[in-house]
Amino acid sequence: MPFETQSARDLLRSFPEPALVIDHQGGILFANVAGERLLQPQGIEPGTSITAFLPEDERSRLRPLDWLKRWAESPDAPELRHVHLYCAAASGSTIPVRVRVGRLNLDPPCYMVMLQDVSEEQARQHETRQAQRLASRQLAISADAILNVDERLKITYANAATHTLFGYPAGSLVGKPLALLLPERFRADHDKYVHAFAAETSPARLMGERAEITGRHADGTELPLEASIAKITTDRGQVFTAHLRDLRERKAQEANLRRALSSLSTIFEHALQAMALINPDGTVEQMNAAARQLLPSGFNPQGQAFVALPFWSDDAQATRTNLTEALDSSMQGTPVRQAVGITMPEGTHRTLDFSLTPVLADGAVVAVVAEARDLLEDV
Amino acid sequence: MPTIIYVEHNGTEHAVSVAPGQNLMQAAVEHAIPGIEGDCGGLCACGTCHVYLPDDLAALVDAPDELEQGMLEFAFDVNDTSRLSCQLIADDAMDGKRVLMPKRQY
Repeated sequence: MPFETQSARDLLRSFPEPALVIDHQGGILFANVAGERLLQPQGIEPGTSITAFLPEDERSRLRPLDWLKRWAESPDAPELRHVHLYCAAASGSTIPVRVRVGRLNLDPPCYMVMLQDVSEEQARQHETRQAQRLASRQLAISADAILNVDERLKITYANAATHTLFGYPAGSLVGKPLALLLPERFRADHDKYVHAFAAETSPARLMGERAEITGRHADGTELPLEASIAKITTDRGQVFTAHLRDLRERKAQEANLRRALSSLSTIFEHALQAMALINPDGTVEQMNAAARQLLPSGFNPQGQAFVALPFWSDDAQATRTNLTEALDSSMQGTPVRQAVGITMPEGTHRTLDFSLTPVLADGAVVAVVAEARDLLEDV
Repeated sequence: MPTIIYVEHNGTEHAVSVAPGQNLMQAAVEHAIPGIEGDCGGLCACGTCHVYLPDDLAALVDAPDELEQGMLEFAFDVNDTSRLSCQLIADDAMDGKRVLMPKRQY
């Protein structure tokens, strides 16, 4: 049959999308093959109300027939892109459908309704939304400052921690230049640096791989920061994302630790009693000033075998054997205390109250502390 | 900046600082408040940012226009206090007010 003479009804019948023609009261006058397949494969009785397939929901105020008529009058209504009706499908399930409605100029008017199953599209959107929600929540609670900048180094995103770290009101950093967060003296170099990174093949640089950087707080103070940066190529050009970690607390802790260590080593160094710290392999780790006085001047004991140090004289061999035994037993965890006779570098003999105390950590000897007090001085 | 408290249907509260002039749907979406979708991006064309306004907040905003009333028909469990949050613009007078969310938007 030539195309010109094929009836409209036949054309619509073979149209691949579900299509219905309804009268102005919602009675179905015609359903095409795809329409029947979607709604009722055994055939739809003419006159059946469309509300049998697009049911009103008791939990909403939506009257589908009213909206179909409204959309027939404004086929490009903006809500048509975003809303859908629910359709009681032949499968027995309820599926979301997007509808398009055309008015047929008959008297009284009829409407052509096209239905499009959007359940897959809706499921995909739902997944995307879930993923976005998860990601935005992760960003929101991050203790690190996380921000994105575009190719022109304008801030396109900054999480809550960024605003807190740099002292700006929530949400106020978007659209501002990145330079705002940098001390003035670093701005020019930083621009160059970002452009160099943009040209590199490496996709990211992580914390620890990079030197510390300096940020600028809203009040002008400088912030020591550790940063990871990555670049992401998007449809709108390159985006740089940075994670910044505030180093102030760590630096304060490091300074405290340094102070504590330096106090301890001062006390050790200046103690009147001769003291040495001996490694598990029997070598000297550290020796204080009082202990070094027992050695020839200029002799560096660090790393030397403790039992072979030059102050063990008299009967050097016997003393050495004796001390080797004592050190071995202290290395096994048993403290040793004994009198030891030594010869000073200038040749005088002295007797020392000598002790070896094992230092234990998790049940193992990690070091031995040797102490010596000059007994003659007590007399 | 006013703080708005979004209350989920299960009672969970989310306090959010909202810039004056921003609509309440946008602020909720930016802070990933569950229960407000805003599919159409604030065009008043989807009915997925449905909220309930307690009297104290309702007193601070204009009544819904015809477009909003029409879109509310697409929302679920609509009552006299229902509004679309994309049509509610934050201002300082709203500080500390609560917005209640429905059980579902679809």
